[in-house]
Amino acid sequence: MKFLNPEQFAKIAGLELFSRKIVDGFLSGYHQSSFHGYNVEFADHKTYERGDDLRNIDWKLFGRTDRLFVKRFHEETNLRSFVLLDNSASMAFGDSISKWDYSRVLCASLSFLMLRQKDSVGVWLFNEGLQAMVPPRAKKSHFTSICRFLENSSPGGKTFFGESIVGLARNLKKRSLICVISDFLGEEDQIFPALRSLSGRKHDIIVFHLLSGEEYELPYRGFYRVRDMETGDHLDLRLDAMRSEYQSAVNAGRRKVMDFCLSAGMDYVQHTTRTPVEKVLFEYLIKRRRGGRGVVLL
Amino acid sequence: MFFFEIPSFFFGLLALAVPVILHLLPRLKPQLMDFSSLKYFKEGYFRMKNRLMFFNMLRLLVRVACISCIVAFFAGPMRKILIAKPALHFHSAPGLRIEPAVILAGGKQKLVVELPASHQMSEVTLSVDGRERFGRAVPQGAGTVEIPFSFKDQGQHELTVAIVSQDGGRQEYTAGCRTTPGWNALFIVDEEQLRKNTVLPSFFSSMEHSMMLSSRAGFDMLERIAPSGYDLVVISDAGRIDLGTYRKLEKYLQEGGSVWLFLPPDLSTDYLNKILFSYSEVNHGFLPGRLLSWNSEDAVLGRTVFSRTISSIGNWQGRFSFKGSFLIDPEPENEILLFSGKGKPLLIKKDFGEGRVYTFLFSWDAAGTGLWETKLIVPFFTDLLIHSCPAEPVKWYSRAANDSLPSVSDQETFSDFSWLLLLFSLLFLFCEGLLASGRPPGLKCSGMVC
Repeated sequence: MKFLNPEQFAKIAGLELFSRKIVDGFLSGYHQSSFHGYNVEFADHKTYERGDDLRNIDWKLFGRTDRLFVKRFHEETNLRSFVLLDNSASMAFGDSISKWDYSRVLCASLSFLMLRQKDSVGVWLFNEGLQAMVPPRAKKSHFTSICRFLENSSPGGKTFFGESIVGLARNLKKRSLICVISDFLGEEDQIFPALRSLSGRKHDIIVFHLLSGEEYELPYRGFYRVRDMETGDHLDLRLDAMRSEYQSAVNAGRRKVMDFCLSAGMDYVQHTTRTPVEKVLFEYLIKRRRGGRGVVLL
Repeated sequence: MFFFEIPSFFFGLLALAVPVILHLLPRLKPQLMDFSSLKYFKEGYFRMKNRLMFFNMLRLLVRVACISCIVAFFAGPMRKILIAKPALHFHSAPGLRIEPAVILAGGKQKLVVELPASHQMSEVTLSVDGRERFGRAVPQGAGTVEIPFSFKDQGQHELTVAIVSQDGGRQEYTAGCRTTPGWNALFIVDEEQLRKNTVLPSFFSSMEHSMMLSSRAGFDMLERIAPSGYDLVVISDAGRIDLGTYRKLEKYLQEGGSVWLFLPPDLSTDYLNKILFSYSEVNHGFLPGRLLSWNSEDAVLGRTVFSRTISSIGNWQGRFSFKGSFLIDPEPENEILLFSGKGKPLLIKKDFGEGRVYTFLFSWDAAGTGLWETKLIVPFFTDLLIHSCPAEPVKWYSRAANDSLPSVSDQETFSDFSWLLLLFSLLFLFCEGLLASGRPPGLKCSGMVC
């Protein structure tokens, strides 16, 4: 499968067209939805993994095979899904393509994918709080609204999971599919409780942990006054000499987020802006279909 | 002691201000970069900051050391090494020797200190066995200081010369010696003659200090006792020397011994062995020259005056008569110590290896010479003994603990240390290059500038 490079986004006029192209592209090799719902028509079994809902274990099958399997169902009713998109100032970082641009494409692609399955999808932007939202709809024309909404929004403010996510989790009464797209550069003592509040309400949560390619590799050489895009603080650093320590810290940080998400029963996708969006979707959906939860695409 | 040939080059140390200013001035102006978050930088920031401070300080020190070495290199560092050569030359009167030094106890000795022109001494003190002291003030300039002294007792003695400099410094030299009541002399003499109580044994016997006398041993004595154990070997009858004895005497002389060789007038030429003439590697064996004649009728008769040829005899004269039978034409390198009234040689000294052979052209018992009757025999043979057994120079040694007179007569040598500084300069330059590359081995700490 040939993926569209994120840099090609700039060559394609409009988020809508690009997202359609992405989804159409990867769906040509992937024909079945993997976003499974709850308590509907039985689909198949999958091997039990830690974190799976015990209520879905097929005990009869266990009695016959002495192995634990979890029943999966095709959702009969429309799935309600939300894409929570981090639009803090740090998302604007990126040389070739910013995290914000990339995440908008990813958000639009996910929306288009949901709408194509006749599911309702809504988009929420958050930074220090919930900034703006597009309420979930299942109409195909809703995709245009989402794209327009994304094109008109811009990043700013600090990443603050606490208020925004917890507030959202409190308002969502019905189980939903929630995709969180963020760089998770906020404080971990706020990120993890917020995510736990979502997962505690039995939502199906997919975390897209997005890093900029430059942010991950730190390819810079020389002496820089590095300014935090969210706080405005700065440090004077010789980045080439800091690279190894920085990468160690980044790896430790993303490992911590991944461990938390997987332990909390969330799906976790880690990728950079250099990973084509359709590859992210394709790899994740393949993994999800096979019962896996964590995908690392660095 | 270090010094610099061109100290004015140390003005170059002003260049040290350059690295110091570079160290204190703000570094490069950083480029501004907006980054998503400093979250992951902050963890290693302070650790790297400390490392960087260390790194920058190390770099400053290396630069300072490099510049200092270069400046010092051009200034020409030298080191003055003071080699303590014997600051003064000491010598003593004849008879004062190192072990086995033998000098006559009670005899007058004299310590002579030769002073160099550059000396800075004020006083010289001689201590004998740490008790008796003989002090002398030292005049300025070159010269000598003479200190007479004597050993009252026989046995081991220690001489200590203390030199006091004008600035109060003190330096001591010490030598050991031994006094003896007499000389160890081996007499190889015919027993019949010895029984006659002839003059020479009587002389030694009559001396105040007794002597070891092995008169009965004869030539066989040399078979049992090494000649080197004796200060003197007296051979009264040279005609009785065989080849084995000659070889022993030759070795004895080579090692520095003294031999008195008497050619008595009643010695027939029939007894003259070939050892005296041809056994030796030299032409005439022990003889100081060519034996011209032996004729009792032509014997040299007359009165003889001690001359001052024998330096240790002193300025005195005496007269005695004798009858000599041999006539030797001495070789020019040999020293004639005693002449007859007719100018014929009577006592000739010949250097043989390290030793000396004294050939007497008269009878060993001095019979008929009237020497004994003149009462001069004692001083004559005493001085001759001293002359025959010359004292070796006393070897003085300095006591380092009290050695505080570097200016007396030290020898100055200079060693150049420029090459060492050049080596250090290159080493520091190499280190600077490593540090400048930002990746010094084992020091990954060129991280940040704050």
